[in-house]
Amino acid sequence: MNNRSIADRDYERRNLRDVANAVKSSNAGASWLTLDIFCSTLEDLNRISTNLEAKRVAQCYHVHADDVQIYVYECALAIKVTVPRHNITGSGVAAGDIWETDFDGVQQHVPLLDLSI
Amino acid sequence: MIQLDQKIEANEVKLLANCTVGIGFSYTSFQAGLESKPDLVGCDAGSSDGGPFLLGSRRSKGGLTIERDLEIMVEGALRKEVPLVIGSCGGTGANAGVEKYLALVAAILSRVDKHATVATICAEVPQSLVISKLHEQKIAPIGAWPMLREEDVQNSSAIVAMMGVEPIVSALKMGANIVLAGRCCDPAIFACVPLMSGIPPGIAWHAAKSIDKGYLATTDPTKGSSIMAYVNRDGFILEPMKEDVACTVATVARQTMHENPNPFAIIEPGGTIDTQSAVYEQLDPRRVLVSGSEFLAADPYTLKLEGASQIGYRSIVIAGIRDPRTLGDLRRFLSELRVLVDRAARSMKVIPDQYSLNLRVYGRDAVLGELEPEPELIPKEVALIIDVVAADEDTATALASRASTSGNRLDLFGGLEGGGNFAYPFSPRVIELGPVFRWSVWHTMTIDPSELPEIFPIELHRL
Repeated sequence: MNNRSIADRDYERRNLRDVANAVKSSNAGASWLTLDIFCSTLEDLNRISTNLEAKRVAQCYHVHADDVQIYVYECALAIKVTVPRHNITGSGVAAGDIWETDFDGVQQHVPLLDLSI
Repeated sequence: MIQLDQKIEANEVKLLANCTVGIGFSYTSFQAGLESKPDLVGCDAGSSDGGPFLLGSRRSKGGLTIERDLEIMVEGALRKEVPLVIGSCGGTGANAGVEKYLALVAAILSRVDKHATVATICAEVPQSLVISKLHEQKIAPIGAWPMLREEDVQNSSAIVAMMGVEPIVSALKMGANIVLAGRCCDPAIFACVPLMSGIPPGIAWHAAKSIDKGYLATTDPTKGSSIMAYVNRDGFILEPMKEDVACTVATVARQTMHENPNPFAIIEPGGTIDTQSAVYEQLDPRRVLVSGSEFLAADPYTLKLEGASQIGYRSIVIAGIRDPRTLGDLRRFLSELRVLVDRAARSMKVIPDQYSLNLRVYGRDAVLGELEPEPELIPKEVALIIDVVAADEDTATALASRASTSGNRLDLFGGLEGGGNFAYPFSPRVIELGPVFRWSVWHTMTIDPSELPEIFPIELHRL
């Protein structure tokens, strides 16, 4: 443990926004929000897929960990995370309802950006 | 690799795609695509992402940008004698949208002095059908949506079913030059012709899914390039029609995963595109070859239903807040304001379940709501949107107006001295946004495929 290189210490500090090339969110219909994480290299992809736990994603989106789907789509150098849409606005099952804050769901990736990876 | 490439060129179906009617595309790239004589031109015209308003209010999208895109595609497709398929006409794919597009196409045909056989396919389903399916327990929620109730169906101002490929194939077989489809899944617009040509369904559907957002599968979507899929039994090649953009393995694979919960299993009407065995190969700097996907037919056959119902009227006020004292204790300020509005509502004899007051604070947490990771940061200024939804417009406007005046004069910290808390950017202060809708139906309906012609009736118009 005492022999950690500078690279190892860097490894610990980095957040998703620093490792991923881009992160976007969108609706997958009104029932789900889907978050696409794009990488530049296979190494970054592996790093994120190893460290991105359903439990921590669930905390970001106030959903149950069992309801978080994570897919590594290597050919796209991407990871897809899908969560139920219904808890996002705190209004029960009601995407597009009167409390909606983001109809297209395109700004809902932000809570992921500062996850340590 | 070269061998596969040649094989595809030898026996292929060519599909020319643009992104969405009304958001524009590169004219020169589209003409370049037409020059190589495609077997189909297709474009989607709708989405449910914008929320339930359009469907619920029975309106449809039109306007100059839509007419421009339609005219270029109609004229080009007829000149080259290529069938044109437009899906989800009018934005929602309700009957009014199909009728609007039919009128637009009729006007275009007379402008460009051409004749065509135009098929319309309606996708609205009557309440009686949904209710009888409900009684037969053939309606299921999508995701965590609640179970459908009969009153949800009865309160819906419109319900559409999302069609797959079958009605479009029928319309083309009936001799249509132009197909104007109601609510339609995007890939069905493009899967029709390859399926009619005997291409294996896994290849046909994956090719269609890859081009259904047109230039989003290219390296630079802002260039608006039309995109061509060359499809044969073994796979498909994607090529942008604009020389200065490219398709790469990443841009094409990323289109496969776009807006779907699962990139390996993409559910469409009638089955699922299984991409687990898909192989993406870069043929040259601008073209990608894809092969290996399967299509797993659904049994039983299900259709997605979308319905919208009105829940009231909305009136809003936009107010800027810049005073650091108010911003420093904004939560208390807003909860006091809420108390004042609730009291005013009681004095107007409006009972609590007849209105909702939503205080949206842009600059603090209006976008992420309870998910905002830093809700306690004190902003330099915010836009407060006082958002009232009530059963009728007079009540919504009265409460929004009262919230505005009460909040403006609320002297929580002392020393307001007749000044105000709210900087209003607009006159009038109260903005009436009209009727508000919710998704009342977001479910699947199990059918027998023999019911498809009745659910999606086709009409031919010789124009």
